[in-house]
Amino acid sequence: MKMFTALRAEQMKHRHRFLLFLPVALLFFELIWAMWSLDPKKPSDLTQGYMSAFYMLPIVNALIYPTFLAVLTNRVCDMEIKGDTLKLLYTLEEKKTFYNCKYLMALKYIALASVGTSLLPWIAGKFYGFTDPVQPHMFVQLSLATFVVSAALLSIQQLLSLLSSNQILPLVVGLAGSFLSLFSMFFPPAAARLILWGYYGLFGFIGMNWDRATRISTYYEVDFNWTGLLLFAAFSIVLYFICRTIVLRKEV
Amino acid sequence: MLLRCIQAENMKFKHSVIYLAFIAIPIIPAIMGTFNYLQNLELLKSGWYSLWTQITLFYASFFYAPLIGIYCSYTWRLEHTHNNWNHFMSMPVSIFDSYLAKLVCIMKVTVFTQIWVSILFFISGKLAGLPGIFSPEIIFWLIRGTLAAIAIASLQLLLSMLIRNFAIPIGIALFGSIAGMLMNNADLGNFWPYSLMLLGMNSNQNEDVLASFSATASFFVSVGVFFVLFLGIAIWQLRTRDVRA
Amino acid sequence: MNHMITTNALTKEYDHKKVVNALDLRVPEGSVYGFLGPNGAGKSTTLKMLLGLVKPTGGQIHILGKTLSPANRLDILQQTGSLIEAPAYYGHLSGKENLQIICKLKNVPEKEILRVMHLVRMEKQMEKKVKNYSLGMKQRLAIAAALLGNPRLLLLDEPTNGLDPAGIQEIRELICGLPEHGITVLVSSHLLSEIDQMATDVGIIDKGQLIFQDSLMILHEHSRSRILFRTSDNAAAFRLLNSSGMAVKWDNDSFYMDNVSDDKIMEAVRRCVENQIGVFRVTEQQKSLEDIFLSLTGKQVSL
Repeated sequence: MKMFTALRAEQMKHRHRFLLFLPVALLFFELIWAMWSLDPKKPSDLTQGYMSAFYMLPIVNALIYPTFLAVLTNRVCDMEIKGDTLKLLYTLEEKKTFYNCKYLMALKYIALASVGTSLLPWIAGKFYGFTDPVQPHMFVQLSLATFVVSAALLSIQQLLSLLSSNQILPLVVGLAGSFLSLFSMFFPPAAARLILWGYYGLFGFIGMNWDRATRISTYYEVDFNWTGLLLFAAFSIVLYFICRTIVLRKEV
Repeated sequence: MLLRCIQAENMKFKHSVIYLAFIAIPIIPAIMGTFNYLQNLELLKSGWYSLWTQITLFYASFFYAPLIGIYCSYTWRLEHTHNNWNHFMSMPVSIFDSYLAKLVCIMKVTVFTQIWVSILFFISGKLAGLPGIFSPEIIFWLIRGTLAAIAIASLQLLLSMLIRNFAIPIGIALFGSIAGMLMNNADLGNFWPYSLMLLGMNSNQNEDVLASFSATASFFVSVGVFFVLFLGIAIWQLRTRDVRA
Repeated sequence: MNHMITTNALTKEYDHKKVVNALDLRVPEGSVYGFLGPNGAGKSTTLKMLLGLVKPTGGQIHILGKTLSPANRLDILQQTGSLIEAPAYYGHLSGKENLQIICKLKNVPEKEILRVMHLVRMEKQMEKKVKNYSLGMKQRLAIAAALLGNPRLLLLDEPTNGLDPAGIQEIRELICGLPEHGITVLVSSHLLSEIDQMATDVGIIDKGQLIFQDSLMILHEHSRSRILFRTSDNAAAFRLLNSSGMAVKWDNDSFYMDNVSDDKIMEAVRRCVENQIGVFRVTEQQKSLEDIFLSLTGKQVSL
């Protein structure tokens, strides 16, 4: 019940701030990108349209999501830093509750963005008339992977945002994350696994062969790494508690 | 008077770690670009030119704008918080100089970052075993890229002044940059400020995209127009809007 | 008399609501002008207009002998120090570093810093980061910043906010002493007693309108004094004076006379003594400034 009240209060803080605008902008942008890059130029593009869409989106996510998360968290947390409200809030609610609410608040928009992202192939497919079969499990896999990786990164961003009085560090980390995740795709998989931001790409489930002679790409599905995702989800939860402990230890 | 404003701006940046970002972030593309270059030697056969594209492609197309965006957001955040707008605007210096001082500071950072990128480029090239030094043409591209960067920086400075949030202008910078890549692909780069740096740095191919006179001229006109436009809007806003602390 | 600040019909509207309404300020040179009004009366907006931070919807401002315009705004600001709304500062810098920035912008030598910090008793806190200052220390720093460069005009918006009683006293003394150095001070406050203790001239603003403006002396004349009597038999004395036609009023076990000449008081005392009533005290009581405010606006204002 207390948690519910705190969440309501958190909700009230975000009135008139158009937080919803952030995931909407992200989705709109990804949609434009998808429409642009999936525009079929030859018949073979249509027969593997959905496959290429699901191949492309994790790459786009890797570039956009880390910075999106930094911006979203900044939007959610910076009001407390700017307004010096922590010393008041900590007298009104448990530090833990405060942290949880902030996290859930941002998580809500991440869930929205993740689901939205996974629907983009469907929109592009309907628009261009892709001819390969729609496979529902792919939507689930993409949205779950996006959501779980983002949830882990959110912990890091929230930790940095709440600890940094000038907000430079969280944004730099978010930007560096975008950079790293983009580059980690060129890495051998073993090295890429070391980079947290790279998991958007690692959880991709479509492979591609590019024939240099014919200049034709062929896409093929690989098994989704469910064990990996579960392990990563467990890691996210641990990370959440680590980050929360660090924030709670800080005195105001 | 401008000099005093610049000195005052410099003082505000004492004890801030912002320079670290500009040193640290370009190292990522340098390492990864070199790595990628070495992995694909059979495809990338143009020596220094190939390495140049590998190192600067993402930097110029995606990351410079958000990076300078962080700097711009920080410099305005100082004024957005703790009532400093009142102070900033009631100093006996002209509004134009106050704003220009901030602009000069971001230009300075831009120039240093570009120099740092070129140093990293040189070191990477040597480590990758490239012979001699890179051709002077690349230096020209660097200078061209710097001018384009300044146009982008003036846009970011304007955005961070108008938007009283630290992160939103940085998000806009990233989205704008990605859109810039699409615009470049559609050959509309000159009409979109975020596209200009990629054009100027010539980061996506070995031949100079701005080889012809008309291409060069329209590039420089575009850089100039955008710079003056964003500067003009900022000054006009500062002159006409009421100050909110 | 020369006026440091004159405004004519100064008006500011926000969304068709007049926050400042046809204000005619007259701030005499060399005065400490107390600008008085309840919260939200338009004080800060007026001060911001004087500094050119907010553009008036109507009216003119003459300040330091010039009409405020974009062209001479800088000349005016060069001779003005200000503290508006709340202290402005950069938290990550020390107090001294904050003032160095202002010195640079005002083109004032840095040795000034020690002087102004001494004036506000902050020499010992100069090296500390401002984000670690207490509210009172931030306030003092802001006043020090306003004093940099010996301005001819000082605009202080509620300068004693957040200060402890000793601090309030110090700042009050500091402000009272400024006119000796040729500085005109406009100080705003919502506390009548505070203005009473430092101002030479007063302007009272309510709901954007100036309802009183004159010297503090004139304001005090509005507060006609009341003479309070304490005698060995208050009731008898009251009956005696009342029956002899003097304007006495009964209040709470004793009686008083309003706005009377010295002769009348002498007569009242003589009559009492002649009738064997001992007079213990005859005290003059000032009407409180709250009462004056009430009589000026005709309604109760919480201050």
